[in-house]
Amino acid sequence: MISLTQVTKTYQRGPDIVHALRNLDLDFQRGECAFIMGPSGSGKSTLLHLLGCLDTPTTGSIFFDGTELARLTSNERAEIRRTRVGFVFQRFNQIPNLSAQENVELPLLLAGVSRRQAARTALGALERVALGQRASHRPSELSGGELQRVTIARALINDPDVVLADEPTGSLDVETGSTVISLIRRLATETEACVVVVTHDHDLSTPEDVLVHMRDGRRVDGGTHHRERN
Amino acid sequence: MVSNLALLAWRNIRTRKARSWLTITGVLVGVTAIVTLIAIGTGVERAVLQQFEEVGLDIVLLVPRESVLSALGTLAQDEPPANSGTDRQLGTTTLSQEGVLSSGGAAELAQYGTQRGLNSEQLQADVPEVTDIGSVATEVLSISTEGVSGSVRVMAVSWQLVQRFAGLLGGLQIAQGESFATPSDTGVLLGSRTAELTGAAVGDTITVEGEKLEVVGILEQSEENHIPVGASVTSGVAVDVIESLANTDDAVLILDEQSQRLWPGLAMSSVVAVRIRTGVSVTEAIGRINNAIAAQGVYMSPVSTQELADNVQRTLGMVKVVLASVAAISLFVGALGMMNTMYTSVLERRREIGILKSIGAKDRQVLGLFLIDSGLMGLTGGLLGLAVGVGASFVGTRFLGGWIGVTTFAPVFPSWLVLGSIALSFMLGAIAGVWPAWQAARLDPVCALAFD
Repeated sequence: MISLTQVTKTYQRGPDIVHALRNLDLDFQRGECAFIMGPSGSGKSTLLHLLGCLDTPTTGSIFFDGTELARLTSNERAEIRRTRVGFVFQRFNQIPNLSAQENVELPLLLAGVSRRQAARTALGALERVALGQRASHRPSELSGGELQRVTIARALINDPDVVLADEPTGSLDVETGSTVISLIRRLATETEACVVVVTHDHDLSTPEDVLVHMRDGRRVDGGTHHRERN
Repeated sequence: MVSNLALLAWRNIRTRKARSWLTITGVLVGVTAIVTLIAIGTGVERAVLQQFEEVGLDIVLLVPRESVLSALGTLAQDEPPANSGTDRQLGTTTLSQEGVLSSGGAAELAQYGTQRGLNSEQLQADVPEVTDIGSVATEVLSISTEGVSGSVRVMAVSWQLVQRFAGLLGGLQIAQGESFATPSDTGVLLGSRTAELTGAAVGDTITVEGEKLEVVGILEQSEENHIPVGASVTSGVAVDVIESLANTDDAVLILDEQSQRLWPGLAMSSVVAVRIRTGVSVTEAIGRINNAIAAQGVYMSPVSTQELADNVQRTLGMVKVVLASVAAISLFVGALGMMNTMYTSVLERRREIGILKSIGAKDRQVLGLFLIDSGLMGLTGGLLGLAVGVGASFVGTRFLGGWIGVTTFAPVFPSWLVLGSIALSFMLGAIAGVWPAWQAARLDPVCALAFD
């Protein structure tokens, strides 16, 4: 579904060039759950941004269902983000002045869905994550676990093909984190979405998941195949 | 799609109340100033023009040439006669507590000279565009009634003037008695103040310059229809002539035929009013009139009321533009404030912009969101400014009316002002938001998401 070929990503930071990713080859399939692991600065988040069309590689190619992302315009990449990608962030990334429901409505409103339909769908999505009663609450009135569930509801509201989660449990306690991962996994399974989770926590994965270990922008799990089965 | 962006923008305005209202207030003040100044300015303009229309815009006044020079000299001195009352040029009658009448402005009046030499029939024959001719001759003469004596402004009006140019004489509304009945009517009409000061009533006999005359009617008090000072300065003596003719309060009116019979040798200052046929070029008609009166050896200057009205309108128009320009500066400052707010908002909302982009907002949607945001604030400021401006205009009119000498006017809100101020404030808001919105749209989503 998404494949990366010899992808590198460099940044200019002052006089220095930072190599965030180096010659990365990866492949993610529909319905699978992949965990990307590695220390800070290993390039995990950069990889997630590239997979989510938030950024483009410096060299190499990323194909999304056969379409090379680098050839797309900014608006076309935005269209993919809106219709085919769902993001779950460590910091929840809710707009603080909007209620939970209004935050979940956002992707639909941006897609031109009517206000009434968007509200109905958003409420349904919140009920799927057991937050229907908290729909009118602002982010500041919700707990970390609730916030992450709102983020999941927003990420899945467009039935995306890919769910990208960047340290989704990083701000949560172990129990809540586990619940959140289970929720992502369950909802993604229902929609047969590909789930890619960036995390430090090995315990979140199951034997069925794909693991990708990274260090210094490279894949370091040693296998000739791009995936390592537990 | 736009409505959804408007909804998102409105949610943002709603949730950032303090800042949004401060920004909106900047536009509100500017729009209020513009609406108020233009509404009052247009109101004054219309009121003044209405006064001219009541007199008649198809009238050409033939004013004694000496009076023009004299009056211009008087205006240049910038000091009205000490006892001038309400009438500055043609003389004023005042009455002391002891009941003694005294004249003011008689010296100026003497300079008007005799203009009774104009042959009206000849003028009408020479200038076919002329449809009506009327005249009024003025002189300060002695007056005495039972227990009161002094001097008074006598206006010897032609029958034609009474019949066809009553507007020039403030409408000649009768309060008591009746008006002149025939061209050879021997009675007199008293102005309201003259009647009050002399104590004369309808049917009484008063003595003017030694002649006993019967009071047949008393006029209503003249309306406060002064043309603003600025207008009279701009348009010279003719405006003053019109004003003094309209003010009949201090006068005694007698028909011209009777006055010539009673005082044949008296030199009276005369103003001739000529009506021009509808559709005829006033400028061309004035040229012919000039030639005709020159041929008669009479020295008078023709001034059309249309010309005066144009002058006044031009002057008031310029004043209005200057005032609106000053108000526009405040609106511009309001727009700058809005730009500042929007730019700060973009900086503060970088993370939000990152979130929006991560969930699929296109650059143009982010641009639109911020443009609508600032446009909505501008529109809100415009609508509120319009409402406050309407209120301020009515309040301002009450205070300003007395000050500029036009008491019977109301602010005018032309549709272009209403629609224009709303559209302008929305446009200004949107324009003020262009640069910040463009900055927002260009933000790299990864950098924006990383922003704390």
